[in-house]
Amino acid sequence: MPNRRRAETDRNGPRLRLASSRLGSPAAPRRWLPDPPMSGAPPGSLPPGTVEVHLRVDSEQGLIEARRRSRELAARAGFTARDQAIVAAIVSELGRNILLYARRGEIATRLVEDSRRVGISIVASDLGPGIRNVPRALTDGFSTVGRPGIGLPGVRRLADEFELASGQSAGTQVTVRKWLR
Amino acid sequence: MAKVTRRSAGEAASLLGRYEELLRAFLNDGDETALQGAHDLGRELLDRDHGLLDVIAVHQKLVATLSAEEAAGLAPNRLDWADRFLLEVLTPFEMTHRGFRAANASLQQSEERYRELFENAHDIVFTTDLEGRITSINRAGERLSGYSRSEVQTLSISALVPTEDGLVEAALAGERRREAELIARNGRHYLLEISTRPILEGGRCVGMQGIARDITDRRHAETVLRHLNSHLEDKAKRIAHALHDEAGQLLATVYLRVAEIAGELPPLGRRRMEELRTLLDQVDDQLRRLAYELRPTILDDLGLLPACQFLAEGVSRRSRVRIVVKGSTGGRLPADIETALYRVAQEALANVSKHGRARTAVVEFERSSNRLRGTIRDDGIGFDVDGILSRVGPQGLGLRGMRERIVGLGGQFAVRSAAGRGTSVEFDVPLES
Repeated sequence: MPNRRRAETDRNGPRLRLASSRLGSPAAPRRWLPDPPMSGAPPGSLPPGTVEVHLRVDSEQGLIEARRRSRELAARAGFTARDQAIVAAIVSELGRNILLYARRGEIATRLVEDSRRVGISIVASDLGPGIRNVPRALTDGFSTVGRPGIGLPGVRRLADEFELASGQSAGTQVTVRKWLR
Repeated sequence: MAKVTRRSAGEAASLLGRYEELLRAFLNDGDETALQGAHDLGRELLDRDHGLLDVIAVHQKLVATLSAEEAAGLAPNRLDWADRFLLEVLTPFEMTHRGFRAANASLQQSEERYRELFENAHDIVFTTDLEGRITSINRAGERLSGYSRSEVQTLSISALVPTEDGLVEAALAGERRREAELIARNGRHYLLEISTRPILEGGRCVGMQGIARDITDRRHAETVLRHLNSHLEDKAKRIAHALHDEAGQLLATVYLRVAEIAGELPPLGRRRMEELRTLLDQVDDQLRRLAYELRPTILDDLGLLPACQFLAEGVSRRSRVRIVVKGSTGGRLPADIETALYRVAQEALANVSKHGRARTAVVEFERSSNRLRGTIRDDGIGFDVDGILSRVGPQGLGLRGMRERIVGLGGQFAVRSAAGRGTSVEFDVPLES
């Protein structure tokens, strides 16, 4: 897991990756738009051309930072305020799980595209105890929060694509993709 | 799911206080921290059973208040921010909403699966309320009764099985199984085997559910089999009689003639006639045995227990298995029962001597007021009962024959055996008291 190792060595805020290294030639037409109304943006907003951010989640502050950066990327991809809120909610739920079960981990958010569309991918990984029973963790009512749709099952329904890899004492990696509608 | 709402006025006020605090903070600095707070608050409001409309109403009231505080009202971009804040509070609601939708869909799916199972069951499946009114019935029930679902639902179960009083009461009292006659719309009678259970809702009994199988054909086949059996026994009896009495009479005449002729012959011829007599003795022996095996007269004359004792002596002599007959049948029994049980003992002892490699065997009868139990057990090598019975073919025919005879008497039959642990054939038949 190269991502995870990088996160462990990187203790000073988000690491960024610029467009040219990730999304083909810079001349390729971009569909994402300039920052929407969240101007008044906090200090240190993402440099133009950023396509990927890695965020260490080991505190409330880290979680908020992960939401902030993921939202910024979503805004760049052209997500509406509604879908930005969904991206932020996904990050919140995944980040909460990291803090609750593994105490620390990483959230990597990146712009992705395939032949037809662009979107956001969010990968939350940790080296915590892992999930013993994955199907159960994805069943409503079995998570620690006894509400249908909250937690991992909720994240799965908010997302367009959802993958979960976990093993006992092998940590957990959740991959979520949300496409621009 | 009725969740007890633990919402007090103070708590509601504090949640609203936090809403206002967070919204003001966000409108002031536009920072993500307040939005994370909004998400958490949304989860908490949801957890405390606050409704979506309540949340929106609170939001609108707050926005109005905030607008009034500023001379020129909230700037357009602040209104936009307030909307964003509301979205954050509402996403947890959206998540549970989708959760309920998915849960509903899967509930519907499983409901459909069970409905298919119910509808396509070969047996009749039905439910009634406490008064015995039919509340649901499947296609098999419609087919057999000839009544459509809507017609059946105006009927009581006692209209369909009129001879059975108190079917529902008995089921509710814990009866699990009974036979009952269904009278279909066209007047035809069907024999049903009904298994029932009470329907419980929250620990309270609200009705009865049942599965009914049409056993008319099975019962018919059983009756035919019984007739066939008694017919065969009759035939055997007559053949045995012919062998024993008529052929025996002829043989006796032959003996007399041989003796007469022997007297007139010279010594050499007399010796040859003696040889002939020995051969005739063997024929006589064979005839008696054949007649006996076809139908032991002792069974008709003295009854089951002496016949079994006689049978055991014969098998013992031929096979060197020591066989003991114990217990009591409590006197004579109806002829069909004696015959069937004798045939079962005969088959079981034949197995003991042929396959069992046993040293000893015990035939035991135990009579209670209205039942007769019997056991034939040996200390032989045993065998795999299920393996033999699951095979199609002549093997196990003897076992099945025994079972048919006992079941035909309305009794219960079991064979217990395992490799190296001997074999025990057990039966238990009801007697008319």
